[in-house]
Amino acid sequence: MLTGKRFVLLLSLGLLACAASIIVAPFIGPSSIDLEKAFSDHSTLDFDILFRARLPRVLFAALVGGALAISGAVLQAILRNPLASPFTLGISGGGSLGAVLAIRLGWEHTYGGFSTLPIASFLGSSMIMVIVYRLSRSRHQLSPLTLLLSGVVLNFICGSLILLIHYFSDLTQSFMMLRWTMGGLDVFDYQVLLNISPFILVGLIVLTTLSRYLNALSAGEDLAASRGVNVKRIISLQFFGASLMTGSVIAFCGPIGFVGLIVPHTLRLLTGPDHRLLLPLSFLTGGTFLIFCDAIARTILAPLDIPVGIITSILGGPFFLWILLRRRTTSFL
Amino acid sequence: MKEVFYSTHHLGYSYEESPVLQDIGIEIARGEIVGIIGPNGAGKSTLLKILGGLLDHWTGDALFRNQPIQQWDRRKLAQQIAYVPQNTHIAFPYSVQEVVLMGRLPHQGASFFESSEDLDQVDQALRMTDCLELSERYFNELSGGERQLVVLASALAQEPETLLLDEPTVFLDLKHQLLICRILKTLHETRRLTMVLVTHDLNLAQSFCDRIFFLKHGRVIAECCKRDEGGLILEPDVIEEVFEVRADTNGLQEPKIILSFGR
Repeated sequence: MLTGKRFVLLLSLGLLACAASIIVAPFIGPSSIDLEKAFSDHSTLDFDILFRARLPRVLFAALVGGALAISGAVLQAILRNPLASPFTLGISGGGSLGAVLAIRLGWEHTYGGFSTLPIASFLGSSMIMVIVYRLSRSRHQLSPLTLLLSGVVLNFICGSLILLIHYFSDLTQSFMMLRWTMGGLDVFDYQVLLNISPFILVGLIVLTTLSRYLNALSAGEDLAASRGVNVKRIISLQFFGASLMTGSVIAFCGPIGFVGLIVPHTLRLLTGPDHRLLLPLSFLTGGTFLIFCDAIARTILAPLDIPVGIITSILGGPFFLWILLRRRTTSFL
Repeated sequence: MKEVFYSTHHLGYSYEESPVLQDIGIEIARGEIVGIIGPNGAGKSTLLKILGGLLDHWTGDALFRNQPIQQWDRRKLAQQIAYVPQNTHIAFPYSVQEVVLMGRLPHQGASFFESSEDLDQVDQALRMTDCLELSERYFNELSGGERQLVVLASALAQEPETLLLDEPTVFLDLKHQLLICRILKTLHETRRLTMVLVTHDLNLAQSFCDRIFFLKHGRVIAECCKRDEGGLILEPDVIEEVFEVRADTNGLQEPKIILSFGR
């Protein structure tokens, strides 16, 4: 059971781990940094690597990992389905479609710090989000099962359209598209962080303030409603909160899979299913996890920079299976 | 004078144009145990959900304590009415104690964590349903009978005055059927709960209810009440009309006699 003491203790641990990774990770990388130079002289290369290249990237990884993990936890709860994630719901499919279309049409411009590629991607994921939501609203009801199925189907449709656009593109464009859909955390300034922060902040507030209703919802919509929960409103708010948050980060980093699936599930197994703790802890742990994966992606085949999505799956998958198998109970889903 | 808890007039509900409930007019008084009986698809569960405030878009009137159900504040309604569904699946590995704590939601105001009052109520509810030793187990690992008891416990933790039960004993073995009946009876005696239960089980209904509404094709087609002496008598003719099965009540003068059916 969740007590105030347990809540504070575990969140402090999560925060500590996340803060420690943010501090340590910028020092990890293919080229070594002279610390004295980096901190004393702002015109050195060491300074640039540390503060202009690595630190924003680490902070970006923290926000992306956190957003993906907490959104996954929320979507699994409102759909009451352990396989739900921003990816199963078509949000990333829509984002990729938007970005791929923009590449094909040559819309890669930058206007006052805003480049058009993320905007196209965000429009794509928002469009899918609205379609999925509209499809699942019928007969005064909002059906989670229809929500999930429409998401899965739309994800497939987006996937096919992406392949179609690939087919009609030349090699250079096709390579750019492929690279985008692999996902990555290559940011080189703080502007991106400023762009996604408002979405993440609003999302965090919406998702965590409504967290306790997700516990009631885990027992089914009827039981939740009989406890005074406005089921339709909670599902809508949580769906839009999680989707906007994911859509905004995917717009800049591309689809990075698996974080939204394994981080919440691992935490459920380790610290319990109570959403009041699970949601904020997912955010912190997701951030830590992605920082860690990105540090590996940058160093393991240095100077090559492997797309971080590959690392999250290769590393996270077996870890998750290990936790799953050493667990006594099978009923966690 | 008896206080009316529920009253409905010309209550109707349609699902995709086809009527599920039509022209329902019933009254339920405080402290009564009322059974809703009828064949599959008669609209029993729908009626129960409307009484619990779980469905919208019905027609006609349905009042709870003289106020239309749809005008009640959800949380206030939940402080007075608890609902026990037919079977419950809970996503994710919640412990029994956590599941029962879910019933405290309507009583928790702005506080983010459970109060000691919440924990006391949970403890009491677990004790009352014989579930105390299950409290650390995972809900999804329990047997069907144990789960139903735990869901009942979480409904009790809600401290309701009215309990709505949808087939509380279906799928359960005899031991758990009797246990649930015993608990419900005790609750009725000690807390004077009003109970509305949907059931197929004529024996349960007969031995347990003060009044029974028979539902068929979305309408109330018969009603029978407990008499001062001899309890509630199910007329074979009524049973035949409702279920299209001839029932032999063995000249039933005393409740708790097993009905035998024959064509």
